[in-house]
Amino acid sequence: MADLRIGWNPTLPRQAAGWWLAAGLLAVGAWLTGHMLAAAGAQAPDVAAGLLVGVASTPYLLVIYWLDPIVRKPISLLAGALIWGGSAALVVFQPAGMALGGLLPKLGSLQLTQAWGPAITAPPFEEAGKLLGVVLLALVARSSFHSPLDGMVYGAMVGLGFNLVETAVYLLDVAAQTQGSGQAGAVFGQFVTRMGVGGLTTHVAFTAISGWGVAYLLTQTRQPRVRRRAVAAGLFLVPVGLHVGQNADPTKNAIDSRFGGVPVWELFLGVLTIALLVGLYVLGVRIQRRQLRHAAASGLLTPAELDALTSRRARHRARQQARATSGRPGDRLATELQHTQLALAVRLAHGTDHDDPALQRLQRNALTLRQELRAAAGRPHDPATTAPHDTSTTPHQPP
Amino acid sequence: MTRTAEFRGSRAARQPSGGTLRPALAVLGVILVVNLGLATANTLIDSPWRLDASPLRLAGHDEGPQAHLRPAAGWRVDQARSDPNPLAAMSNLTLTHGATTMTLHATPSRATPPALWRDVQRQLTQRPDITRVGPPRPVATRHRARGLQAPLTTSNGGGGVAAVYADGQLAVQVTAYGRDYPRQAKAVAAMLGSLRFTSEGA
Repeated sequence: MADLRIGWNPTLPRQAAGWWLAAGLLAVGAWLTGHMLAAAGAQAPDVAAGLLVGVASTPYLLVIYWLDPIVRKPISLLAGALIWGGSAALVVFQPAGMALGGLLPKLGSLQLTQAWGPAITAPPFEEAGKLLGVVLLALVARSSFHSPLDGMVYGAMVGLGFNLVETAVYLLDVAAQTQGSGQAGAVFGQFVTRMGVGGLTTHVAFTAISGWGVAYLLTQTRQPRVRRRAVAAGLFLVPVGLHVGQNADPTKNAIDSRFGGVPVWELFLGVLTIALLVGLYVLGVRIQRRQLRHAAASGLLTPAELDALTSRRARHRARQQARATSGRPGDRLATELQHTQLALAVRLAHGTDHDDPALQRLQRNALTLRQELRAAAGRPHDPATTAPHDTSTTPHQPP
Repeated sequence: MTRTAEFRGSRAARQPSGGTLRPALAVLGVILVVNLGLATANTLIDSPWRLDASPLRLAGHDEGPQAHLRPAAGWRVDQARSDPNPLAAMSNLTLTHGATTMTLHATPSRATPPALWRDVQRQLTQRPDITRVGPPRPVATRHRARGLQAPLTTSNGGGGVAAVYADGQLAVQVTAYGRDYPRQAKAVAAMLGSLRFTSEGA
């Protein structure tokens, strides 16, 4: 059986510059963030607020974990993304943001700073800091990026980490402000705003969108370089723009006041963000399936097997079918076969050479499992699939 | 064994990510250039509120049970009285340096419209015991301003005014932001810097 269990790759060269850079920035970021939170103090309401945020993040974690229908992400990389978002992303460009905040009244005016400071100084640096986490993940584990969906998942995780810590800090602030006067209600109100709809339409979505762009740049190598760069740059600028819109208090106040205080501006931006997110997700799934189809075109998967691989529902149906005909062993073999075929297909889609030993091992495993499954179902062996596939004669058709 | 069948990567698939030196250096370069570039520009670009040298090194750590400000060498904390309310943690602080005494007053408010500080400046200017008044300065940090988006208030930013009393005492009026000491301290340093009293004398 193919070895499919993996956490952090132990063979990863620790001397790799990207690894050391990520580790160093994470350490510094964690220290600075811890310092910031420690300076805020820890009182009973703060602890309660922290627990509240932690519990509220669970659905987000699950959704992000299951977002990719084909490729399950290693927990270690997801954890790395989450930690980056909650630590280094907050501080990596903080000096620049503060400096820009200092420049605004000098180059502009006090009024400009007061009105537009949050919209000008925060979005570019926050979005860049978060996206840097995805970029560093790509540096450290480049081979874990197969399609734009990978960047979307890692980006969403970075955004979640960022949102969690930022929300915790905000709750601490509100708790301090409202000490002794409706504290619980104020904290809860802020919590609902930040972790409810706001949680979905802000940092998580923003970095999911920009992460999609980075992964598109890295994985869609058959597309012209100019196009890939334009997509990546555009999908960085779009969340920055949405973020600017959310921080643009004068615009927000002007529009909302026209509608009697109804948060029309926030709703508009939220709907726009969700629409963009869903659109990119659907496109990412299509790209992923197209990659698999190209991989299958090399003859390593039958069309029926490919159909059974491309969605969770189809895979479940195939396993149920195997269980119905061959009982529990059939179910087990079908699951293993799907694992192996997915590994095979993803590797082929990734452009792995057909002579690669790991690829050939997976190929042999797939053939063996397929035969075992047929035998378990009481069907005769298929001679065509018994012999190892001769990859040297198979025309390679990368996606 | 898991019942699902997503590809979770294999060791063989996770090939060593060699050749990351140049991209890593590029990333590091971007971080350094952006941060240092903007910080340098902020330092170099002159303005009516130019800070050439802050007489106090103010930091955001608690050095004692009451004061949240750390004076630089040569300065001595004469009095530091804090309020149990965390929003007024820097309620009153008196420091001396030779013959110069400086008193910091804090206003426990996070939502001070700019106009208020102009009013404060006007009032201070009209007082006979005050010889110089610095321009109102915003406490315009991103975090601070974003924190003000709390539903309790609709106005952004805080600020402060520094003034020199006829007897040589300095007073700095700033908005206090109880849980954000580093920025609070930075704001105070900005108030002091606006008076340039190290070079001109109080």
